[in-house]
Amino acid sequence: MNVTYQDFVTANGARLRAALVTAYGPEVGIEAASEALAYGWEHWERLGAMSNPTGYLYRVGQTAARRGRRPSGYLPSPPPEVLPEFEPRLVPALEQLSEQQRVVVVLVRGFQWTQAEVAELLGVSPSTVHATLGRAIAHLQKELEVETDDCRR
Amino acid sequence: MTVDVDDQIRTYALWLEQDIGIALSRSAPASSSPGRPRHSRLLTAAACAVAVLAGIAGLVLVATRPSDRPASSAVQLAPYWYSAVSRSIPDGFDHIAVLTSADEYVAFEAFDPVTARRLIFTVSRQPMSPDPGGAMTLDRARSQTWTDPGDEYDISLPDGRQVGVSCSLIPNDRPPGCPEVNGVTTNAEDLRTFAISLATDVLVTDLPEPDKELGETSIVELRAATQSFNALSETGQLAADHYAFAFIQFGDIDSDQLVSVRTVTGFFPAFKQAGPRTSVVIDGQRATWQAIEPDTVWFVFDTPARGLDVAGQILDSAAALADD
Repeated sequence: MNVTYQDFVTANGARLRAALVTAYGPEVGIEAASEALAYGWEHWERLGAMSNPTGYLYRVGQTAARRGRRPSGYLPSPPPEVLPEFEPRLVPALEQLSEQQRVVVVLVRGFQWTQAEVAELLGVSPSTVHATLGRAIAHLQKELEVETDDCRR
Repeated sequence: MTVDVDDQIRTYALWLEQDIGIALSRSAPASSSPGRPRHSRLLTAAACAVAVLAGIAGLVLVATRPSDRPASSAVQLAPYWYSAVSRSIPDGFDHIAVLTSADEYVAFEAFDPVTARRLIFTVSRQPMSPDPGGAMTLDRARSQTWTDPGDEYDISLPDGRQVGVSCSLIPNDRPPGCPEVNGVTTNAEDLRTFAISLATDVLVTDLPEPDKELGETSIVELRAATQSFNALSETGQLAADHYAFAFIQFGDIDSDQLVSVRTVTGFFPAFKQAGPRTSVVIDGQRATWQAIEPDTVWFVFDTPARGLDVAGQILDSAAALADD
């Protein structure tokens, strides 16, 4: 199948950016995604023949991201005055997850990617994604379980 | 009570996407999309909060300008393409609509309500070339490049795609370029900077999805509102009827009696419905506009020399039709 790079980016660019932003935060993740996509454009003749170019470029992005320093508190939080009902413990809880757990749970539950799509991106089996998602959700539920009175003042 | 984890994660993803201004979702969020998954009270709050922040940013952007802000921005969520496309847009062109979203290219119109100037820009999804009429056509050979013919900017990307930016007040009878209106200027360098930003910062994935079928247009209302004027000239003609805009003109194209009427729908941010009617006169040409509905603007282009309040009558008719 002869897929152009533009078709590939149209189908996969957002997923790649979402994963890298989730893994490393917007500051590093966007830059890493840009580097990965630029690499893909330059080497598309070779990548286009691969069975999973998305997964390959995700790893290119990971390498680029890890060259830089991931800042402390790398996932931004919505200001309370903007989203008063947003649970402030979510972001720290997400940061406590492993990189793979965080990517899986945010892509699937947050950005609505299918588990199969995330599996392809990460280069793992769908059953691994399913299990990782379960563990991540369990951890977040434990961290975010709060009493009603704690929410009100 | 326990927190709904899924709801919180989805809210966070929506906020994050809007905060960094880059599409990340599988199905990118569109304004008031009925298909948005898990549309909860918290998600609604997130959408409103993002829209309010966007409104604040817009106010900062135009703080030195006498601008009327859209009344409905507090309940509108920006289309996913808005942040990427508007990132470097010249000052004042805050209201943007998608004119056409085809498989090959996307055409936008940005409108400055203070000066009535319109910025029209096109971004191709595929290698393109210009045709003599000024539109972009598919360039399968990828052999043609062209740049900067003056105040209108066309940029060729290394992969053969094209970006074009032009600015005008009155259609048909002016050279391209943003005229100075009430002391507000947008110079050629501003247009060039914007064109380069579109060419380098906006990915194909940032663009609106191609329209699968002809959208609703205002051509029926347009014909009805101008009905009484069509008898003035035998040259009354429909010039365009596309996805988001319709256009009709009557009178000789070479005379000062030419009247053009244009509607564009789908503007974000929306306007205040039946907001003020505004006219700008430049070099004997007059542009009058009014938001007949929140996201739909009517433009009437004529000459003050005509001696007849054509714009007033047409916009009155349009407003009456909208109220029916």
